[in-house]
Amino acid sequence: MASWIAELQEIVGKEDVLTDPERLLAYECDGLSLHKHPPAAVVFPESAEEVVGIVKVLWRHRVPFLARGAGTGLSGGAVAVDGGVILELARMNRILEIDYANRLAVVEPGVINLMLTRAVADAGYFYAPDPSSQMACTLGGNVAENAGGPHCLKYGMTVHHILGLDVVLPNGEVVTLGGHGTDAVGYDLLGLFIGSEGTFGIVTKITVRLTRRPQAVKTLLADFLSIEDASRAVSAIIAAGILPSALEMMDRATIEAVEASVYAAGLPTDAAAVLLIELDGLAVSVEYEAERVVELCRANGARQVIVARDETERARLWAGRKGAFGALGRINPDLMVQDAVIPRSKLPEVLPEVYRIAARYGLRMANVFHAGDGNLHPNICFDGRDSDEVRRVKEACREIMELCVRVGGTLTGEHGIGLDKIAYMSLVFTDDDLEAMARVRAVFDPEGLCNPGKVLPMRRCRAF
Amino acid sequence: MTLREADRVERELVAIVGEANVLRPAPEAYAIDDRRPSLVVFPETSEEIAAVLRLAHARELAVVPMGSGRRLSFGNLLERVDILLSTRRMTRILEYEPADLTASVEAGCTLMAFNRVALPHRQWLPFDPPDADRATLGGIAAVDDFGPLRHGYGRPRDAVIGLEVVQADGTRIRAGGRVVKNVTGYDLNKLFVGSFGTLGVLVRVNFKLRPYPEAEATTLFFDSEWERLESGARQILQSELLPAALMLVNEEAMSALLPDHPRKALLARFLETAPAVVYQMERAKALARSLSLELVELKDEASRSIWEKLGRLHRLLPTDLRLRLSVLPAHTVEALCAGERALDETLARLHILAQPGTGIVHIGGELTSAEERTLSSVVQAIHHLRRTWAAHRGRVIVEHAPPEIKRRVDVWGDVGASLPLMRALKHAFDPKRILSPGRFVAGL
Repeated sequence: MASWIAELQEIVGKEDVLTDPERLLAYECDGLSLHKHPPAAVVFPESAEEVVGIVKVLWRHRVPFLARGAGTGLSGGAVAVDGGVILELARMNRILEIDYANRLAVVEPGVINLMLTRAVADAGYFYAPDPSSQMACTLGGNVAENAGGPHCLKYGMTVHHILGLDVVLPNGEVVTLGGHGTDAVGYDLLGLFIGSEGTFGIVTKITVRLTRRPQAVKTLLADFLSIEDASRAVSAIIAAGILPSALEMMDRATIEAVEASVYAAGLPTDAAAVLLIELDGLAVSVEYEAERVVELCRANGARQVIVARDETERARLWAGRKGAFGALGRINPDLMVQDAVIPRSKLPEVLPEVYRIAARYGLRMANVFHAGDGNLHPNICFDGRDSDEVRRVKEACREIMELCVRVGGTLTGEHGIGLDKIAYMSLVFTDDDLEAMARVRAVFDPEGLCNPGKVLPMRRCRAF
Repeated sequence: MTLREADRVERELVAIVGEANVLRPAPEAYAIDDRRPSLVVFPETSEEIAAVLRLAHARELAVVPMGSGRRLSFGNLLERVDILLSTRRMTRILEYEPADLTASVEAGCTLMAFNRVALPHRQWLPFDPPDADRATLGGIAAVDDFGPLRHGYGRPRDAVIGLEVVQADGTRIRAGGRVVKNVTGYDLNKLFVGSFGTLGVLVRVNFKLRPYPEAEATTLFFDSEWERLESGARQILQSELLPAALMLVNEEAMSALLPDHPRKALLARFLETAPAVVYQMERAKALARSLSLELVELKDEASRSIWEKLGRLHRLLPTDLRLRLSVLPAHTVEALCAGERALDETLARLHILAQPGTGIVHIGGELTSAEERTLSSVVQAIHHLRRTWAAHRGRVIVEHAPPEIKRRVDVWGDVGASLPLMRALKHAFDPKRILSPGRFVAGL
């Protein structure tokens, strides 16, 4: 047994250091099953002090490590690629402070996204970023990935809602980033850290912004007989100066899967696509804008636009949307939830091409995505045991990435690069761009111990 | 720089940008604090900027990037300034696709010029930093410069989606992209936005835009007591209302903004659909009645104009010194009173603008004298405010001050435990310290 394992056991106790290979299997991949790498050990710290202790031991022994929350990530970011140690932060799940006067809350990284919103709901607040996995994913993971969700069209990404972080650097030093409610001075290390995919350090405390619940919410469902019409309706809404809180598209394959599952929301299974549109704000504005959205959808070929009559109906529509990945996963052995972004005006041009690529590789694809942001999620259904199919999935993904980059888009809007997209980084960035990123990484992690092998490709024996 | 070296540098700069685009000596108008740059250069392309930086890097000359120049004295005194690099000739809008709600501009493009093009599409960049009428978008990004609209729209940092940057050695890099949602690699936008020209020269900035609101109005509440205005602000913040800006303004500032109403005031700006503006003004009226506050309403142009004036307040009132306090929103009034007390004796015509929604407080005024006693008492006041507010996460930044004061006090204050990381970043991006040396925190 490596000497550092005994040292870790001293910090957290014997039971909280997993080394049994069978139990480590649960940690060999995250939400993306394509990349499997079992860690050397999993440790369960319960406090910031324990995290510091663990990191110092691993730093001293030059053992690579990474933090992990719920493991719901979709880019292979929370797996240990070279025999590293996972710090599982799920037990650090306390909400430490809720301060309505200053609209902030202080939490530990293992707090589940939705639990925070539930904790503040009665007072009329919510935590805005709402990834589809919000019932399971942790806020620490959200910070690492700069997570998005349907409502970031209006409310922004995780980075717009984090006011401060306490971070354990890879050498065990503790720093505070951001002002935890006031403006920090100096470089925006807080903004730089958020979305660094666990490669700059480990978060032990998070101050988040709480958002006041709007006076009114209206959810509309528009169905279309062609994807192009639905895409044009999206552009028309944005161009009309309306900023919905969410503007989501689901295609027929997704609708069929949802309707055959427990998430059935009464979606029209004969539609080529539906748009789920949510408006929020002042009641008078919402009424006023809803009328215009209905007109714009009709003008762009919507067959029918229905407005959710009450909270139950609204919740049912959203359950269908948020359950879409689960519904798709249920009927397929494996699911590749892809993620790419294009300028939103390119939707009518790019979407049909994405379907053509899937068809060319003989793959079944379902699209459910944040149309208002131009954030695509082509979901490719496959069987991981079929090596030829896996190869075709990978090749189709590369073509989709190339297509999105060609029209001015990028590789990922909210899932991150992780392991999965490293090979595509040079589609977007030059060597000089990547070298600048590598310099920043080296500032935080000069020894390359913190979640190595992620985000940046390796060249000439160093990450960049 | 020796005379001979300056001659040589001038020749090389002329070879890059042409004779008409190099000034030597730099005219008085280009002085930064009490320092006069040796040369001013006006490149037209990012290639020219790269060439200027390669030259400066090789010769270890200090380069200070500038947009309109309105924020050049924001920061610590520069250690050196050999070349002042103006983006005045880089004013193009490179891409603007209204259906994408995004745009890409050269750094020297002004906010006003851009918004003039975007407004017919009912879109805009909702920024209102001080002197917004002159501000360039590169400057706004480099300073992360905000105004009252930060309350409703966030900071420029939140709207920058991509950058092209010339690094200290002349290498060009891009960060982010042209899409509104992007987690591809590290977000270097965050590193450069708000870095005050100390890590690289911004040459191109991509923004996400906002729909331009259909209607606007401002409600002004007046009273003689901060407490009652504060309670009005708190009630607005806890209600369903969605002001785009919320500002407490003292008597001195109001006398410049609305001379008929030289009283303490709370201003709430509503930018929304037409029915929502009407609704909110009605709600504001009811609020004023319930708190017995006097009320004035300004619509459309009158509303726009009072906020524009507010952005020029330091030109309407003598402003030798301007502090920015950042405190927790609930402490806003307490902080503005503390600031007023601390500076009351040394500042004449003391004016205060405070955002109860964000906790940003600006205090400015005219120094009562240039005597040693006054200067040291201002410095004492700054230290005192910093000490008092540090315990409550508060910060005090000196946004503007005469060089005699800057020589005695770090304008940024204490950075804390993350300073070594910042030093390392500065070293990683500008190892020879040629970019705005000394200007940033801890003299980086």
